Parts: sequence; structure tokens; C-alpha cells
Amino acid sequence: MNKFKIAAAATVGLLLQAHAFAGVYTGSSVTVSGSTASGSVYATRFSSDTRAGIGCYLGAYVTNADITNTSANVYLSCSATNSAGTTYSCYVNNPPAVWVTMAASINEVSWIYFYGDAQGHCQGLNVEQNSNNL
Amino acid sequence: MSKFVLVGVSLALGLGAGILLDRNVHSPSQGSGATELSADGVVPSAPLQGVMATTGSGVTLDLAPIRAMVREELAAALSRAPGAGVQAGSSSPPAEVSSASPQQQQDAIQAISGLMEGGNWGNDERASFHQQLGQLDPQQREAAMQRLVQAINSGNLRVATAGAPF
Repeated sequence: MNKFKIAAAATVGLLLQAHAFAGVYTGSSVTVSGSTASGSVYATRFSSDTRAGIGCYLGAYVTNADITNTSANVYLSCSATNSAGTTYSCYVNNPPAVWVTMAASINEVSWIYFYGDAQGHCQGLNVEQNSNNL
Repeated sequence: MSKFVLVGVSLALGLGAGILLDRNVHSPSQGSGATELSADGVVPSAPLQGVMATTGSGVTLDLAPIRAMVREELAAALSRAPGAGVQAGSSSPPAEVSSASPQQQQDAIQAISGLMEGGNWGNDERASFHQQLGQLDPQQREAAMQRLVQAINSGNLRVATAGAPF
């Protein structure tokens, strides 16, 4: 009798899990190609390899640790490492406000795509928030 | 009666002036062999040569040299403006003067070089790098970041940070 209950509970659990993850999924792990990189945050985080990662960083600081200096410097850097360990990074000093907004919006449902020049200056940033990525 | 005379003379003068002005505006400005004279008959200074020209009895204005002069002046003014020469792709940075001494800046540059020479870029290196950036002026900071990102992208620096390398 107990075996029957356990089996029934497991079956219900599996059905509920399948229901929870219904919907289109197009998450992709990190791709690095030349001066471009892309990938989904969720797929990358839960991929089987232990190297891959993707994200953007916003840094701000005042010159010479002078907190009375109101002209804080801001920079944005984006970086991605694929499963083979290849990394591409780029940065922008004092980026446009919209870039800051985009980088700040990145979360687990995000897909990120960025590219830059040979000097490592970011030239484009795309951030998509979509259920497909979760 | 005198009113009619006055009105008649005014109309005649107005028509004459109009015809004269109309000729000046519509006469060709690229006439060959045009003599360049200023309005008072004096040869214009070098910047104005080519701007004013007489063709027949009219004085013409050639807008192309004026536009060129305006462009040159605007370009010169822009090159003198604060923040001029900032690379494309980045917004205008705030006016900034590093209060660090040249020696402090040099120390910061050397410290960053030391961080990169290790070949490994971990959390400690990243934190130290951030601290050193504040000592640098914008040009030095740009150079330091460019050097770091190129070292990372070329694979010369092994990234071992928890998260973004910088």
C-alpha cells in the first residue's frame, strides 16, 4: 500500500514539474566569437560545465576617493566565457544612460548579446528579457 | 496734388530699387573673370576673397566660401571645447581633474602593471584594480582598462574572478 502511495506521489510530482516548465524554451549557453559574445543567464548558470558565465558590470567611483567630488566616474564592462574557457570582454567609460539602464535590468530571464572593437570598447549591447530564457 | 507726386516718386524709387536688388540676387555668382571687390570697392581681405564678387554691375555673394568658413570656425570651436577628442561610442565624460599627484598616478599605473604581470586575474586583482583607477586621470584610466581588456581577450590573462573580471 505504501509503495502505491509513493509511486502516486512521484507521478503527481513529475506531472506538476512538467506543468511548471511548460512553454517555449530557447535559452542558450555562452557563445564567444571574435569580438562578440552572447548567452542566456539562466541557461549558462545551470549548464553542466563549470566555466561558462556571462554578465555586465557597472562600476562607479570618485577620483582620489574624494566623496565630495560629485562627478563620479561610471564604467560598464560586459564579459562572457564559454565552456571552452574563451573569454571576451569589453567596456565603456561613462556609458550612455540607456546602456546603464539595460545593464541594470539584466536578470535570470535575460539573454545578453554584446560586441566591441579590437581595443575592447563595447560598441553594442542587447538585452532581452523573455520567458523563453527561463 | 503734391501727395500724388510724392506717392509717384516713392513708387518709382521702390520699383527701381527692387529691380536692382533682384538683379543682384539672381545674377550668376560663378561668372568667369569676376573681380573680387568689397562693397566699398576695396579688395577684400584673404578670408573674404571668393565670397564677394562683382558680375557686370551687380555684387554677388557666393555662399560656398561662407559655409566653408563657418564649418572651419565651428570645427575650431569644437576642438577647443572641454571633452573634445573623446572616443566615439562613449558619452561626454564630466569635467574631471585628478587630484592625485603625478607620483601617485605613476604608482597606480605600476601597481596595475604588477597586477597584470601575475597572469592570473582573480577577485583580489579586480578589487585592487578598482581602487587604483580612482588615482588616474581619464586618459590613464582609458589606457589601463584597454590594456586589461586586451590581455583578457588575448588569453594572456587568466580570468578567475567570481563574476565579471572588471
